[in-house]
Amino acid sequence: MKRRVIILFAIWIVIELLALAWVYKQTDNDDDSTKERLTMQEVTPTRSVRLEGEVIHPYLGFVHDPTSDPAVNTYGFVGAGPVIASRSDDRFRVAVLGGSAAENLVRHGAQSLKEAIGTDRSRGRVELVNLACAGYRQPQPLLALSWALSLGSEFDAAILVDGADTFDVDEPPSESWQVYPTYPRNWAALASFTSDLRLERLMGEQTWIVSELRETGSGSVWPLRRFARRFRATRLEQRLAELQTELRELDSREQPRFRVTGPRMRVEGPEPAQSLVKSVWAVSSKQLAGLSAQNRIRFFHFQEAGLNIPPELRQALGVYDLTETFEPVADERVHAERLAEAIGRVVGSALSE
Amino acid sequence: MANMATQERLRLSPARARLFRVATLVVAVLVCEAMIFVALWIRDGRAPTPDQRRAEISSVLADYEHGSDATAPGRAFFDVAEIGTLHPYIGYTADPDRVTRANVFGFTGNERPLRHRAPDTLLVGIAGGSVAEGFSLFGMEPLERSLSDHPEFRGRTVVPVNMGFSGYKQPQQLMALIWLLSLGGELDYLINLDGFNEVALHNTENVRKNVFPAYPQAWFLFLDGIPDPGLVLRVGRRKYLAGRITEITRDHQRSWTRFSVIGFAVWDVRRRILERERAELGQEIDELRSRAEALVSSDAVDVVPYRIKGPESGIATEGDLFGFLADTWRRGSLQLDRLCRANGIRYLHFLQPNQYVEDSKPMGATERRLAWREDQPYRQGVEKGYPMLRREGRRLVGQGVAFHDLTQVFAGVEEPRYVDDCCHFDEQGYDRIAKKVAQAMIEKIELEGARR
Repeated sequence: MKRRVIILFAIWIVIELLALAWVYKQTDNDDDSTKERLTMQEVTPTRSVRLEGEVIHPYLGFVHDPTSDPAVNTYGFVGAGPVIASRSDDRFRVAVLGGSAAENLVRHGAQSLKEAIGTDRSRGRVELVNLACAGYRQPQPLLALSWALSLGSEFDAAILVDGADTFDVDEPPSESWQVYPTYPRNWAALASFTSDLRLERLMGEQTWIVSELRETGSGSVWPLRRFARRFRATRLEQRLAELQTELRELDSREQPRFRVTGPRMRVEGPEPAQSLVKSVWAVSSKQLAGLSAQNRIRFFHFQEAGLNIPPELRQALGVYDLTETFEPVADERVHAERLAEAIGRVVGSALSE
Repeated sequence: MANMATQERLRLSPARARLFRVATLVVAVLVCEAMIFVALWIRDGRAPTPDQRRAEISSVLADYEHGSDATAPGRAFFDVAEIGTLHPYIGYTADPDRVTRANVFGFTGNERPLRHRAPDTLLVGIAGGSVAEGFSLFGMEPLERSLSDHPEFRGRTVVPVNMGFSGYKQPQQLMALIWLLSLGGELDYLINLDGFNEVALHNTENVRKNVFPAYPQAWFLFLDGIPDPGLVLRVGRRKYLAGRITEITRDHQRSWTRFSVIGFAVWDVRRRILERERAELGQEIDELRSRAEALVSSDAVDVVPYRIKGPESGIATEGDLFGFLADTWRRGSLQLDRLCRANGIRYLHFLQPNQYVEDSKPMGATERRLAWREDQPYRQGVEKGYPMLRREGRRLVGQGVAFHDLTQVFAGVEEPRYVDDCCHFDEQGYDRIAKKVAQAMIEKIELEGARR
C-alpha cells in the first residue's frame, strides 16, 4: 500500500516536472505576454472588447456598473463616500480625477493620501471623492468634474493623475473603422448595435474569450495547473485570432455609422490622431484649471512617472512630475500606496503655503 | 351687309388682339389670386399676407433642410431618437448621415464650428434645445442688425456657432461647450436660450423608465439595440461551446477511439456536458432578450438596467422632482458662466418664453386653436416648473450670471407668434427675441465699461 502511494506520488512529481519544463519552454513569462496582448485589445479603436461591468454613460462615455461590483457607487465610480455633497468647515473634499492610476490611488492608497493631506487638522476631515475610472483620458476627467459640479457637488481641491493613456501609447492598430481619436476607449464596442445575428455572435464570442483569457492570465504556483491554463489559453488565443480575421472581413463590408465613428476625419497614419489626443489633453488640463479656479477649487495635475511629456508643456500647464520623487513599483497595491504618499506630500505642502 | 360692317369694325388689329388676350389672362389670374387669398383666409383664420407667407416658407425650408422637422411643431420624443444619434459626451447629437444640415460634429448650422476669434467676426455660440437651434437659424440676422450701431460690434460679422439641438437640457449645454472648447474651439459670446425642456420633458418621457432626471431626453431609446453586456457574453460563450462540440466530434470521428465503445462513451459525456451548458445559456439569453424587449415596450421599471436608468436620484415627491430639475438647470448655467469666464467668453442666459406660462401672451382664437392644448403633456411641466425656474433665475443673478427672463417677451403682442402647441414661434418671434438678446449684450458691455 505504502509502495503504491510512493509510486503514485513519484508519477505526479514527474508529471509536474514535465509540465514545468513545457511551460518554460513555451515562454519565459506567459502571464505577462497574455496581459500585454490584452492591453493592445483595449486600445484597439474598433471592434474592441466590451467588458462586462462597464456601461455607457451619456456624458462620460462609460462608467462602472454598480450592479456588477459592490465597490462601485450609484454614480458608477469606485468609492463609498458621498459623491454629491457641499463644502463645510469640518471636511475637506478632494475630487480625484483621471484613469486607472487615479482610480487605483483611491482603491489602494486612499488612507495614505488622506493622511498626507490631512496633516493640518484645521482643514477638517479629508474626504476623497473618486471621479476617476480605469480607461479615462481627456476630456473625460474634465467632463467628470463638470458633471459632479452640475449635480451640486462642491470640492476644496481636485487632483488629476493622468498622461499614460495619452503619452505612452503604442501606435493604434490599423483598422478599417476609424473612431474619432478623442472618443472614449472601446467606444466602437460600447456603441455598436448588433442587428446582424452573425456579427452579434462573433463579437460575443470575442468578448467572452478575452474575459476568459484575463482570468487565465493570473499565475499559479503549480506547474501542472499552469500547464493546463497555458494549454487552454493557447486554444483560446487561436480561436481569437480566427474571430478577428472574420470580424475584420465583416468590417470591410460594412459602412460604419456616425454613432460609432464620431466626427469622420481622414487619418493617414497614427500621428495626426495622436497629436489631436495630446492637444485635447493639454487644452482640457487648462480648462480644468480654469473651471477649478472659478469654483474656488485648488487644482493639482500630476503626470504619471516616466512619461515623455515635453517639459515646456508641463511647465506651461503646471503639471507636477513625480519621476524624480517616486519610483514605480510592479505590485499594483504598493505602487498605489507610494503614489498616494508622494501626491499627498505635494498637495499637503502646497495647501499649507 | 350692315352686320358684316359691324363685325369689321369690331375686329381688332392683331396687336390689339394680343393685348386683349394678355389683359384677360391678367384679370383671370388676379381673380384667382383674390379667390384663393379669401379661401386661405377663411381656412387659416388669418390673412395670407406676404410676410406671413415668407415666414411659412422659411419655416418649412428650415425643417426640410434639416432632413427632418427638427424645429417643427409638436415633435414627439421618438422623433428625436430618429434624427439624433448617441454621443459619448453630450448624450446625443444630430446624425449627419440622416440630417443634411448637420456638420461633422453633429450640430446643425455652421459647417465649421471650431473657429478662432478674429477682430472682424463675432463668434456667437448658441446653446439650448430646439428653440435655441431655431434662434441660430432665424435670430442671427436681426441680432447683427440690432448690434450694428454699437461701436463694439460695428463692422463685425456675426458668426453663429450652434450647439443647440432638439430636446437638449442641462447639463447637455454645459457638456456641449466643454466638447467644443476641448477640441480647440473659441467663442466671443455664448447665448443660452433654454428652460422649457428642463421642466417639460422628464415627466412625459424618462420618468416612465425611472431614468435619472439629469440624463438626456428619451435616453432609453438611444440605447435601444445595444445589447446588454451580460447578453453579449452569454451569446459568445454559447457560440464558443458550439464550436467546441464540433471540434470534439470531428476529433472523435477521425481518431481510433471511434472503434471503441469507451471512446464513444467519453465523447458522449463530454458532448452532453457542453450541450447542457449551452441549453442553460440559451435559457438565460432568452430571459435577457425578453427583458430587453420589455424595456421599450412596457413601462415596468423593474426591468430597467443601470446603463439606462443611471444613478438613484432618491427623489420622492413631485415637488422634489421639480426642485431638482430647476436646481440642475441653475447649476448648469452657473458652470457655463464660470467656464466662460475662464475662457474670456461673455455668457448670457435667457429663460425662453412659453405659451403655457400664465398671462405671458394675449391669444386670439386662431392662435389659441393652433398653439394651446388643454391636454398637452408638456403643459403641466411648464405650469409647475416655470415659477421655480424664475426663482432660480433670480438666484443666478445673485451669483453674478447675466440672466434674463424672457417669459414676458410676447406679453403685449396680439398677433399670433406661436406656431405649435409645444413651444416654437415664428420668424417675427425670433426677431423679437434677437432684439432682447442684442439689448442684453450691449447692456453687459456697457456695465463692464462702467465697472472699469
